[in-house]
Amino acid sequence: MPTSSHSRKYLYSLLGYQPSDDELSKLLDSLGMTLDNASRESIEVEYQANRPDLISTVGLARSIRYFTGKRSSFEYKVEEPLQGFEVSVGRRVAKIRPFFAAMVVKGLELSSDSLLDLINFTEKLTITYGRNRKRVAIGLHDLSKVEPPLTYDAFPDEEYDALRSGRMRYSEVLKNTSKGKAYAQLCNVGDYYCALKDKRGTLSLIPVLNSERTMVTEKTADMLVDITGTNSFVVEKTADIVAANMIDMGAKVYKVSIKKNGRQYTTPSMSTLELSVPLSRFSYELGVRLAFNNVISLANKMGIQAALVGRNIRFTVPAYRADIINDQDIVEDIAVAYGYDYIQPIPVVSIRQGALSERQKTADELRHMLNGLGFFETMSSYLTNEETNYAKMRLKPDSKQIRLANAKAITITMMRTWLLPSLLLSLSKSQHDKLPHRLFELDMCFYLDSGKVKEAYDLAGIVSDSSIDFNELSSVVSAIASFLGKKLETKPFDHASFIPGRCASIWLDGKHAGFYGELHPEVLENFGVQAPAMAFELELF
Amino acid sequence: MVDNLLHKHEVNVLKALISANGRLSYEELLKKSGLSKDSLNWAINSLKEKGAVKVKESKQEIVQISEEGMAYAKQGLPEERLMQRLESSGSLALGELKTKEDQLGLQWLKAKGLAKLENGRLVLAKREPIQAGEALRQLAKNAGAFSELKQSMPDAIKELVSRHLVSVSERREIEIVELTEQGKAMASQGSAEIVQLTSSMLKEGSWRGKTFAPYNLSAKVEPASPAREHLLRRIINRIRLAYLGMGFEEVEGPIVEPAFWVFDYLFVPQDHPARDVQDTFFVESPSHAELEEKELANHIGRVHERSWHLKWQEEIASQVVLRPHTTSVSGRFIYRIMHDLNKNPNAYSLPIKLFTIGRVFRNENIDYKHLADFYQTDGIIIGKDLTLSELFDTLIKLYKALGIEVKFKPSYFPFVEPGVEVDAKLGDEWLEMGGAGVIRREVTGSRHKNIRVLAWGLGIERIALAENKSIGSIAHLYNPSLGWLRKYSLG
Repeated sequence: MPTSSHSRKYLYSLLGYQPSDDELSKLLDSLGMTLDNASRESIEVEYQANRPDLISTVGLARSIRYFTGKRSSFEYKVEEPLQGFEVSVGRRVAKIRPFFAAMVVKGLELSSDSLLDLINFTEKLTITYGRNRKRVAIGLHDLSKVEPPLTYDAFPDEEYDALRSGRMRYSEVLKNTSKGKAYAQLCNVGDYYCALKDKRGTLSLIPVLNSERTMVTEKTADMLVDITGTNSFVVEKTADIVAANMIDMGAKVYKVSIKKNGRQYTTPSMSTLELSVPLSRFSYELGVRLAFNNVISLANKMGIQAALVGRNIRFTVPAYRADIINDQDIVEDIAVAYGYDYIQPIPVVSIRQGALSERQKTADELRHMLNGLGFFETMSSYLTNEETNYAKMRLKPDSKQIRLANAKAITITMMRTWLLPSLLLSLSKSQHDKLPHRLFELDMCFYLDSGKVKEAYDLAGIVSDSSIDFNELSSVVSAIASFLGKKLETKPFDHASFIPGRCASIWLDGKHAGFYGELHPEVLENFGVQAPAMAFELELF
Repeated sequence: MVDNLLHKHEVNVLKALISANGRLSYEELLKKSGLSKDSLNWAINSLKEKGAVKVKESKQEIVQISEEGMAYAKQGLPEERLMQRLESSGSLALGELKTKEDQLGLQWLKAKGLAKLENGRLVLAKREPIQAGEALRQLAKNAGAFSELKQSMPDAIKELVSRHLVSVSERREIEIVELTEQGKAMASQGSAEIVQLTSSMLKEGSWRGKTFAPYNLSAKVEPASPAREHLLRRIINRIRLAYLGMGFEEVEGPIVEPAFWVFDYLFVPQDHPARDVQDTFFVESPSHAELEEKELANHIGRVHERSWHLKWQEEIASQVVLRPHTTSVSGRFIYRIMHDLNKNPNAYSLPIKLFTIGRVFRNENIDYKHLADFYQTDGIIIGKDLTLSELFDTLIKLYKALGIEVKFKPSYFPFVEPGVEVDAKLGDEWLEMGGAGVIRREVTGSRHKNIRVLAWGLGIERIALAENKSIGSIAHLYNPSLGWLRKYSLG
């Protein structure tokens, strides 16, 4: 879960009281959040990734106040657009970053805490919900430094006063600043760069770096907020969340009129979602008997307005709740408000008998048998590399391997095609342990079988001792065949991992199933094994 | 004199020594006495106690660098790499430090006082080389440098050991065994007592009227090491039995899957971070798999476009990945069963209870603590009028069978609503075990309103930790050395 940091002082001032950490932790648990890393000045809170409205301290305080009954107003009013304030969206952003929203905020009284919260919130939201600014990014500007009219488009390279970086060309910002390097591909389309401009020049190279001119400080009372992105719904919801936060900070939010492709619309929409759900749903989906007034007050605890209309309850979901898609999400909110701790466990009535998978049952019995023969089971990674799977076994890589495209760990390139290399790795880590060494693994291997992925269960065993008796291994193989109820045949076999003349193929009921023999000294050397070893491997199913 | 009685192994050793003028190396003695190492060690120690032989031992420190340590020796310690980034960028926002590796680097930089927080940003506090990194690189080049490094950088070595990047074990070995005067005298003495009862003595009855040389009943021996179920296997099997007892049926499903079954079918949007190459393993060959259920894929695509406001692409859904959770197995069964139920609500006698246990994969930087593959269990109940109450009851019982207490809190997973986090009690702490919930309609496609699906996905390694506190760390579960396997087979 993502986390977000909150100043204690600011949170307490928004809550209007100072809960103890214990109390706060319980409250957050009930709301599906977790209190982490509490320090003297601040706390960190884990929030659910689908709740960007809970990133800011303002949003967190809002949800706690609703939940504890300290807030009962549901109104989030946005004012009509101011005269002469219009943004036009150009055509050149259509392919790279088409969606745009904006708002004007007036009468903010910022403190260092609230400004920090606002900045943390925009940063965090654009990283998480914004998928690293790709889906959505937010720009904050000092309105008093902005001169309409405004245009959002992709423009040719030019110079501007980049925030804390001096005068630079767009291309230089992308090449030479850390933000520029990180977000260049979101901004740059051919010789053009996404930017928001007013009469005096660039306000922001989008979604990279604002201008020095419109920088927001504690003294900023009025703001212009721009929101851009690649997903219309996400841009709209982000604008709603920002607007709700600004309103809760005591400011007035004015819509901004936007012209795009000859069409005119205003943002933020702040439109609520109206959902009607039959009252009976709550009882039979939550297993709890609830009257309509219970449901309404539970909805209110989640900041959702509700009213009884006939046999249905009509919910008015606030605009900032980006996570609520339909009635199922309402059912969850009611369950959360009711409290998971208060939901009574009820047994599932069933007459069905349980059953284990037949294949796993056979595997279980084989494992017990190998234990009885003194073999210890190893449970190794299914992931390996060509060096271990092939080269150290004196084999050449084949085209049957399932290769991985993007492993972070350098030691992983493919899925193992057989088990013996895993057992030899275990042996190599057991060189300080008393002989004899007897290990087996019964688990999965992966390879391509005429273009299709084959997920097979293999059984492999290895014995290493100061001197080894080949007949002992033969008798183990023979015991396995007889357990499986299959007729065993062995034939001389050439396998580069084994000493020539000391390796046999295993045939079960006339089908080639595997091989066994004495491991080649070069293989033992490759794995740092210092005593002779013999091994078998066969595909079970 | 009881003390003078000799076991036949002891006699063998004395004879071998006499034939070699009273002095042999361990290896020669092993050959000449014809004893196994265990028997020889016992005989030498017993003779030593009786003053019959003198023993010269060698002591050797054996240094091993863990896989994690080797990786760091190549790439630098996490704190070194973070320090380099700090040097080049001046400061970093905490939000940018997302990976486990970054977090590890952050912890160490802070602990070493090399970096500090300023206004929520990490900046360098001091600029000095990190000794542990230097020492690790020197060791990786030449393990023989250990004793020297222990002198010159004692703190760095201690740190490497405590971080499990380097392990040091001591090996004591018998080098030379020498006969004493007393030993020579003992070797020449015969004994009238029976040292070993043989089958010929039993056949002939020649044991009658004789006394038996007593055994040394307090001789110190190592415990035998019975091969038993692997510790992790034992836990997996306990969970399977707990499910079985609750009437669940075991099922299996593919590990190499098209993203469709892992993500799309489970209502995970195509731009969700879990689908990032940072988190999920993508397969290079075969990179794509044909989606067999064409009609289903189209339907799911439409649901996604409607709900996530994002163009759904079949190409992304057909990319082949290693499953990051076993919920893909649940998904395949939910689809198959709901498909039948939609056609005929009486196709099955409900409820149906299924479970699966298997490997899942996360694209992690692997080290002794973080593995790229581990185990998970998923379970589902498909039935009528199922609610959170039945879900909680099932999970409480499942964990109770393993002796673990659980509690629930709200959580979010795209495919469930309501969503539940399952926490288990480990000592005084609550540890997150996994997620659960009621599967969304968008996934079940249920045409019968009251048929619902309860589901959960839980980490096995964490159950192991909660169930057996002596394990300590998840990494121990995967320790492949026979020494460890033998030790835990006794527990």
